[in-house]
Amino acid sequence: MMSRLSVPSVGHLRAGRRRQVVRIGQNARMNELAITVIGRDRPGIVADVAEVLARLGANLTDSTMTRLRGHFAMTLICVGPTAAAVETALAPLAADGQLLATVRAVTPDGATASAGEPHVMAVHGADRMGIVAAMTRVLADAGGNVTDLSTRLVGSLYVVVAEVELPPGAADALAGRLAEAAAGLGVEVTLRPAEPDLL
Amino acid sequence: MTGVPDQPDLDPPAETYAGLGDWVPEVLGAGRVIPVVSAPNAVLSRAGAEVDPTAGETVQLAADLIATMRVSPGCVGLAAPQVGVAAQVFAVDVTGHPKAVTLHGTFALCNARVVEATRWKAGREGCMSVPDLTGDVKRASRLVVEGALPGSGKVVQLVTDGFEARALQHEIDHCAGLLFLDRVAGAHAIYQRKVYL
Repeated sequence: MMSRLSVPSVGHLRAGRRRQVVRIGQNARMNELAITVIGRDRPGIVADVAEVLARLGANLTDSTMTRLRGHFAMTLICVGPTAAAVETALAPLAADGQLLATVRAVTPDGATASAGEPHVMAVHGADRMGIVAAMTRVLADAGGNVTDLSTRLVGSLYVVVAEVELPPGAADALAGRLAEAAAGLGVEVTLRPAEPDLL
Repeated sequence: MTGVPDQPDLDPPAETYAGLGDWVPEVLGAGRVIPVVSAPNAVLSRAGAEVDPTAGETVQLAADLIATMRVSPGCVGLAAPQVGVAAQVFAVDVTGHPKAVTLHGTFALCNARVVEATRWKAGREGCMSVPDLTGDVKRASRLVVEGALPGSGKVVQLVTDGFEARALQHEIDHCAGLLFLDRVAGAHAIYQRKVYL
C-alpha cells in the first residue's frame, strides 16, 4: 500500500473513502479531470478503471456508469493526478482495443446553484431521426437546462426522458410548444413538474 | 372480495353503489382472446371514447378484455386501447399478486374516473403494450374510483389500495391515451427488460 500524504482539504471527501486517497496535489482543484471509458461490456470494467484511479490517488467525484446497447460507458470527474498520469495508467486497459479511454483536464467551476423549476419531459413514439434534437431545441429555446437525459430504443419504440430545469413560470407555454413539436414528429410528449421526495 | 379497512367517509351520489355488489364476470358471456398492440401504435395514445356500458358491443369488449387478460401470463389489467379499441373500458384482476391488499377479484369498468387519490408511492410498473421496458411511477396507494359495470350499467364506486389501486390508475390512464412512460419519475426511472447485445 502506498503511503497516504496529508490532505490539505478533505471537505469534499466522504469519510468512508478517505483510505483510498493516496495523494492529492497542493491544489486539487487544479487537476480536475473528465474521464470517459467506453467499450464492449464485460465483468470488471468498473473495478479495473477504479483500481487504476485509486492507485494514482485520484478521488472519483461524480460519475455515471451504464450499459448502452451492450457497450459499457463510464463518464466521470475525478481530482488529483495529472491528465498525463491517468492516460498512461489507463493505457494498458485499452491495449486490446476493446475499451476506449479519454482523459481531459477540465476547469473546475464548482457547483452551480439551480435557479430553475425541475420538470420531467417524457417523449415516446415511433423511432425516427431527430427526435432528441427537435425536442431539446424547444427546451433550450425556452431557457430550459437539461440536467439528465436518457433514451431507449426497443423495437420500433423510442423513448426519451429528460430532467430539465425551467425558468420560473415557463412550463405552461413550453408544454404547448413541445406538443406542437411532438405532433410534427408524430410522437407523444408530456411535461410534468418533478416531485422530489424529501424525507 | 375482502373488507376495506379505514374506508373514507364518502358520500356517493344518488344511484352510485359501493362495491361490485352481485356483479360477476360471467354475466358478460364468453370472451375472445384478441391480440394486444404495442407502443408506438397510435391507438395507445388516443383518448378513448365514453361507451354505453349496456350496449352489446361494450359487453363483448369487456368479455374479450377479461378473456385476453386471463390467458396473458402476469397480466393484471388490460384496457380497450391495448386491443386496438379507443374506448373507456378495462379489465383488472390482481388476485394473488404479492403486493395486492384489497381485492375485488376479476372485474371490468366502463367510463371510469378517479374520485379520490391519496398516499402517493413510487413503484415499478410494466405493461403488455410496452413489453421491453418497466418504469418507476408514482401512484396513489389509496384510491376511490367510479365507473359503470358492463352489462347492467350500474355506476359503482370502488375503494381500494395497494397494487389494485396502482392497476386501476394504470388502466384509467390507458383509457385516456396515457402510458406509464408518460409518468416515469425521471431520466433513470426506465429499465430495459431485455438486453440487446
